[in-house]
Amino acid sequence: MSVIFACFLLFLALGVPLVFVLGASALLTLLVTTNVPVTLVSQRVFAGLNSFTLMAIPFFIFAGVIMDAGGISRRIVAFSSALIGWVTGSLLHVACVTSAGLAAISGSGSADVAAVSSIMQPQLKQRGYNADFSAAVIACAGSMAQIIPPSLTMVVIAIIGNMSIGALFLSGVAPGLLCIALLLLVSYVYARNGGPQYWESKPFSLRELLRSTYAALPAFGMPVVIVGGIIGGIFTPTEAAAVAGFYGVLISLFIYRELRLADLPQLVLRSASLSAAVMLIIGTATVFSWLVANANVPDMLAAWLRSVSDSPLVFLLFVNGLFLLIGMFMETIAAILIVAPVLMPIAAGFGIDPIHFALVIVFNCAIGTVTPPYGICLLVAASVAERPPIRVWRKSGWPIAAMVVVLVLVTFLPEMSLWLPRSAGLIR
Amino acid sequence: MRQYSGICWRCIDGLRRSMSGVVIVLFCVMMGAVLLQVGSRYLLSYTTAWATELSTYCQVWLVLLGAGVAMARHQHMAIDLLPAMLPLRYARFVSVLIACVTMGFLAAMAYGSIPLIRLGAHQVSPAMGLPLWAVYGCLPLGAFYIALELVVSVARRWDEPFAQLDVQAQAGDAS
Repeated sequence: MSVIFACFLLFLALGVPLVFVLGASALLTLLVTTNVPVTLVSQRVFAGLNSFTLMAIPFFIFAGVIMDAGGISRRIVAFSSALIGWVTGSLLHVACVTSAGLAAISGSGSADVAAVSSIMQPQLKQRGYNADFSAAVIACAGSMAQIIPPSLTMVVIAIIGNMSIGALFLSGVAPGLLCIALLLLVSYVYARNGGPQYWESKPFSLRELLRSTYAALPAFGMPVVIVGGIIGGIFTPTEAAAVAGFYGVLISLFIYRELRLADLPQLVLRSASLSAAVMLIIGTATVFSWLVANANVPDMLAAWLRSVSDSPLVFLLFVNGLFLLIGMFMETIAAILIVAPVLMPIAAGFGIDPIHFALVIVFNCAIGTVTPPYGICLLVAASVAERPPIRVWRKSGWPIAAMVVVLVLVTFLPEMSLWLPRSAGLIR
Repeated sequence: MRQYSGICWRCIDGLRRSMSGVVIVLFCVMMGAVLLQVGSRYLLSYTTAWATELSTYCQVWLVLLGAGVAMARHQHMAIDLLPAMLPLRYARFVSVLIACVTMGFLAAMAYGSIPLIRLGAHQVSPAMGLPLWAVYGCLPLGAFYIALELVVSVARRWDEPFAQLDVQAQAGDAS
């Protein structure tokens, strides 16, 4: 067992791409410590990818790419601006509300951060907002794409834990929106004390709100298709993702007319290569997690944890600490594929609801995307803002504190995440 | 980044274009099959097991070939803070070392697929009756293409092995 983790850390520090860190360290361990034939590697990679449910991932990525290229993001920014642009610190609020709106279409935090940043940054600069703080807020709000359905991370963890993707999606709605609300509050307080450049805002206009709502109406069809379709039992998650992507193409081509048919192949290729990069990680992490399970790590860890404490709360705190630490260094899906199968049976042993437990893990991962050194949302936000990541990180204390507050609530109040899926009749 | 010309590089460019074309077609077939499945279930009340199978196999092929495209676009995420601090000579050495580790894994994946392909020669898929060796074939082919793009990438970045690339290129991954 120590072989696999030593190799893992060595390769990771060396700068090997994570997908091959997982594969190569698993391979070395396999060769050194077991007599299992190498075929296992190919067979596990294949088995990891041979899944219809997993196909929601490329389709959700495609929907996100289309959302950005087809003018859907811009409509949602205009809508948010009319909705909340009259409050002090308006641009920050618009960024937060837009992130929530985009999160309901795309399942990837970094895609949302890129979309929101590229639209908002020019205005933020022009109005003299603090670039570092704005980037930090956008990174945190964008990371909620993993919590507000749909979410790629949730698809993966639901497959591992064999639970309902719809139920897990719904469990994220309340915590995700609460987190956005807290980020709005943090932005407001910051803007109040920030200086005159934050106070200037345009007056509220009902006409403008109605106009922008009308323009954004076709875009809102995407979350309706995804969440409504899955919860209503009309589509499986994979089908909902495909239909949402197709719907996005249709409205971008024929209603918004910002997409030309000739642009589609490049967008498809972009979605496909992004999906491949994510999903090959799933393939190689499958080999890795097979070895971890084979070495009886879950049982050893369970025994150790039980010797420390019998309290589910202590266990949940331990899980939070562990995932916050892992989230700093690891890509989300890889972390979940390796660690979640180990922890889930233990959580079940403590009587923790699997949906609640999965949401706690996903929330930790969302925070992991805004913490250094490897926090993809923070890096993307800093890169679009053309600021050094370290500066943005220094300004991200309060926004991250808001996320941690929600994490604590999610951890200790299972009802917060469970009431929605329960009232929809998806879990008992 | 170095720019190269010559027959060899033109071949690689051609291969890259055709791989990209194949990947686009695979994505479209995958999406088309799923949409067809939804459509036929609601409009014709006719279930299509073959569509599920076709799209799933397209997905496996898509990932293995698309990973090569992602390699060309530097979309495989790595933490290269440490090697980026090295002087050029050592950085070059590390970039070759990274390539060797990666190639080792790819070679094992390709080698390990031989028994699967042999087994697959006698098996057919349950719904479409497709010979399974054709499905497993993506493992060695994908490994080969990823390895090729890896060599190209090491050569291209020879003067700056760990130059900061556009982070936005990675935007849209799962996190």
